[in-house]
Amino acid sequence: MGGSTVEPVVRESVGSAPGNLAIASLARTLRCVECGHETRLEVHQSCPACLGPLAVTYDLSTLRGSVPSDRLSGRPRSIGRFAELLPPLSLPWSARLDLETTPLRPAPRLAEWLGVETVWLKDDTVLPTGSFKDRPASVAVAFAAAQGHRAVGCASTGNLAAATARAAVRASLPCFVFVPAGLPDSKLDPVRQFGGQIVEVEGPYDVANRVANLAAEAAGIGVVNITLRPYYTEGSKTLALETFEALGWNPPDAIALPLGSGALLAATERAISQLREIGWIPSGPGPALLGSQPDGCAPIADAFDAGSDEIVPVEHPRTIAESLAIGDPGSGYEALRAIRASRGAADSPTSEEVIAAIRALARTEGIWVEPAAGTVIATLRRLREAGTVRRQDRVVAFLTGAGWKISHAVALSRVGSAPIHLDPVHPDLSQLHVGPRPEALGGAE
Amino acid sequence: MTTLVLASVLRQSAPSLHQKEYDGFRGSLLEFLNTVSAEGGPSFRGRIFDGDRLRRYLNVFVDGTDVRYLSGLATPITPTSRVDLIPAVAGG
Ligand SMILES: Cc1ncc(COP(=O)(O)O)c(C=O)c1O
Ligand SMILES: [Zn+2]
Repeated sequence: MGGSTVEPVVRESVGSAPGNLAIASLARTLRCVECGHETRLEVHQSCPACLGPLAVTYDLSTLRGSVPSDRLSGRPRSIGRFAELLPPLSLPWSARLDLETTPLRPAPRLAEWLGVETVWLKDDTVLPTGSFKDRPASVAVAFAAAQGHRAVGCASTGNLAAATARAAVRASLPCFVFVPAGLPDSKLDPVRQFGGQIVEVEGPYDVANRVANLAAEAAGIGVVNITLRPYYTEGSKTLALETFEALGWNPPDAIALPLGSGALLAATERAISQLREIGWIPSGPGPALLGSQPDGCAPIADAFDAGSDEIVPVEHPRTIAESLAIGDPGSGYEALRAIRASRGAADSPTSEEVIAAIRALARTEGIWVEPAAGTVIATLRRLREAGTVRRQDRVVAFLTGAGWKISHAVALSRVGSAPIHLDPVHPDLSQLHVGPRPEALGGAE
Repeated sequence: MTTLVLASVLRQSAPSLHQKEYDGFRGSLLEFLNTVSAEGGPSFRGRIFDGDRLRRYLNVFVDGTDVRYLSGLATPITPTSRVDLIPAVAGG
């Protein structure tokens, strides 16, 4: 890394809303996480030497020993707040990183259901397209725009599709979304509304990926999770950065989060190690990373359970957690190493446990999540029962997707009691019992 | 014809191999990749193989199917096969 010591420039950005600041990125190079090969901050999908994943490196010397509140005061409450720790996105674009900081909600009633004392929920269900994918998509598209790309796209099981199409609107770029054929309209309607071009490919997600990979090159599309992958994964760091700021830079004992490709978990680990490096959080053991995959598609969790260094891909994922049905996790090895290094765990609950966890969260805290996030809550419950998570632990769960996105899932719509039918002329109101206060988790349906 | 398709990161070290067609090839994937990397040279071979195994981050597809779901390096290659060499990608 270059030993540059320039102070990051803080200045009013041209043409942005008042109070929006443009802060210079401290990113310096791309480095292969497998072999250490370094390249410039350009569009590189993977390491030219070994094809391993590339990660952005930073020269953090100017932030080392700084006081976070001094540094961050006056900045907008959006992901652009952490611009030093993001790729260079050029002035007008960083001003458009308009994703507002999401709430970190204390969850005492869920904590009781889980059997732990302190739980916070990082609530990304409130993001514009209902999932955390707005973060990586926004950062990757802003980088693509800064690099002069004329179109962007993604390969997606659904959530990233909506997020990329939205980010493309913000950057005034056309968007191509490669999806496995047969996704429900609830996942594709946002893409249509945002004016994205849907490209259907017969077969599971991995096949859509392969075709997007070829199209990216042939058509010059900046595919956020393929050709822009190193920048895309940086966007996912902001979930952890916001969480630590909300906790006053006082790390929790554990962070529970979903594993699809493993990119979010790997990014979370990078955020933690960068915050340690600049001294904003203490060095020494950090939070245990608790990764969660559904049992019908758990290649990373299976490797963890087996104590293996080999991740065996799953050809035909079978799970209600469609967002996590990534059989060949591209960041799986990084995620597995990060989990082990944090003394964390990986786990794979069943669909029934996921459905029960979604219901428990909805009825204790009033937050409706999709199965990807239900999986995380189910894992917390299982790891608490197994003793991996202790009662006194302070735990954060990342709620990465909203429930309304998957209301098509039959298994999920069958929770709750049957509707009461009333005659419009002679409604039999005796059918309406107002009993005792509802048990938050009403066991019997 | 057996057709070889390379992602751009691989094309850089062996541009002439991209979309190259092999007439009448019959054998295992290992034999096919040995033939190909004999033409591409050691630096190309080094991007495909880690010792005698396929690189961890290289995905090889035969007629659209990842060879890890077929017979790996023993997967049969015929005169009509299409072989894609593509790096692994992040999630969606
Ligand atoms: C809602 C949701 N949560 C979690 C994930 C997993 O993220 P990653 O692929 O970064 O592991 C995804 C998509 O992959 C998702 O859509
Ligand atoms: Zn490498």
